[in-house]
Amino acid sequence: MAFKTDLEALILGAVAERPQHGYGIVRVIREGSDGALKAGEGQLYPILHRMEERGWLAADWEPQEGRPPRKVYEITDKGRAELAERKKSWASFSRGVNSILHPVDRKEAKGNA
Amino acid sequence: MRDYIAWYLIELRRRLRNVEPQQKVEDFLLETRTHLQESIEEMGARGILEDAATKSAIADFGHPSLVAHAFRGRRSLPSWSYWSTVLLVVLLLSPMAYQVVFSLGDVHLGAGRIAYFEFGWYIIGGLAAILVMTLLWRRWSALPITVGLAGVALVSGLVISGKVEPYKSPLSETILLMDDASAKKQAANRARWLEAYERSIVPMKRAIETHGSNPTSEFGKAIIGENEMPLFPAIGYSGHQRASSILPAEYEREGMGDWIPFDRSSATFILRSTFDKEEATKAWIRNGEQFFAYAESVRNDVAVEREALSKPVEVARGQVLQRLVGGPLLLIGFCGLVGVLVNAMVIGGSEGWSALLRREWRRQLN
Repeated sequence: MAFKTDLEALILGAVAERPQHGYGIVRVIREGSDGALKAGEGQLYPILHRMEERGWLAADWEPQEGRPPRKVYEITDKGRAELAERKKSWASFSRGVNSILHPVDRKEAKGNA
Repeated sequence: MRDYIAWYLIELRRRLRNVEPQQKVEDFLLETRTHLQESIEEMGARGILEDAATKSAIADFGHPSLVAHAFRGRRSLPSWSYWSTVLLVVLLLSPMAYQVVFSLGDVHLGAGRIAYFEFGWYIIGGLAAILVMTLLWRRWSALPITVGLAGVALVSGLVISGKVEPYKSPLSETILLMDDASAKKQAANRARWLEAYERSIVPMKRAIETHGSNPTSEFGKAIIGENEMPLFPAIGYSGHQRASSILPAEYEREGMGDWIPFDRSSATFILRSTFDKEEATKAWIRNGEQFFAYAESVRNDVAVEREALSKPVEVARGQVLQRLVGGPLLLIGFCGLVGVLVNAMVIGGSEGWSALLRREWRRQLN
């Protein structure tokens, strides 16, 4: 069973530290999650374009020697604000899921309080 | 390797050929190629053979139709569904457009033909507006533009039309569709035509009023006796066509317009086939009554046309603007707004209203 992932949040997280091109984002998500998460590669670019249109990402073509240029995506201030929102939302969601899946922990937490 | 990637990109491009702007599609294809190449290289570094790596990279990227679908950001409505929606909207609008065109003009001669002509353009304009709005409306950011365009068309139509019912015109529909010079020429031709037409009716009506429509009367006997068939005019049948083609002098000399249609109800047929003068007389009277009724309606038409022709042509020009610009703009504006709604509700896909509401609903649930 798997929870539906928020690909937009993952992308924002992947480019938060440094700009990445499309394949780099896929790699960051895959390796950062120890292979637990895998971005739908074909779905990634349309989402990147949409995020660019929303102003969450800024993109620029980076020339490569002897190879076609690649588009590098960088997070914007608006994107950082959105990422902060998504983090909050995820924290709330995961807390809720944890409290259902691990009721013992919940009781202990309440007892300690 | 290159063959597989080339094939994949061709398939993807084919599925995105109608997506605008195409530059965005080209960027996407370039990114896809770079992505696939990097993916293959990475697998190659892990020792996977190039052929297998290529196939794997393409498989990971996804089927071209799914990728194209995601790129378009539209719900996967099949084309028949899309076109039937458009058709439905057009069909719903047609009666309204029909009413707009036909209910507001009160000139009879030639009106139907011209109105149909305009009606066709109105529908084409409305359909084009819906399609343009459909093409333009791909994301929420385009909504102000599309609504703005439709709104401008609607308001311009209202302003140009001047009022809600701008089409009431005493002028002939034919004149309305012409420029100044053509309108004057047409007016002169029509005046001549009317004169010939009226000239053909007046003597006939006077003759019938004087002699009656009875074939046994002096008038009827003269006609039947001399010609063995009544030379009763049948203006309603094709008299006006003849009137327009025959010069007034010749028409006056002929004096009768066209022959009555030779059918089983005519006095001629009865007389020739049965020699029953009583029945023939009844038919003669019946035909005469029909002629009287028709002559009256024609006289009314002629009066309307004469009044129309007495108005200056400049009036027509203003109404050309109303009819040819104001009316279509109104309809285009209206259809454009309908197009926006259809897009928003049905075709907008992931950016459409329904999708937005679903997202908002999910957000609320979270």
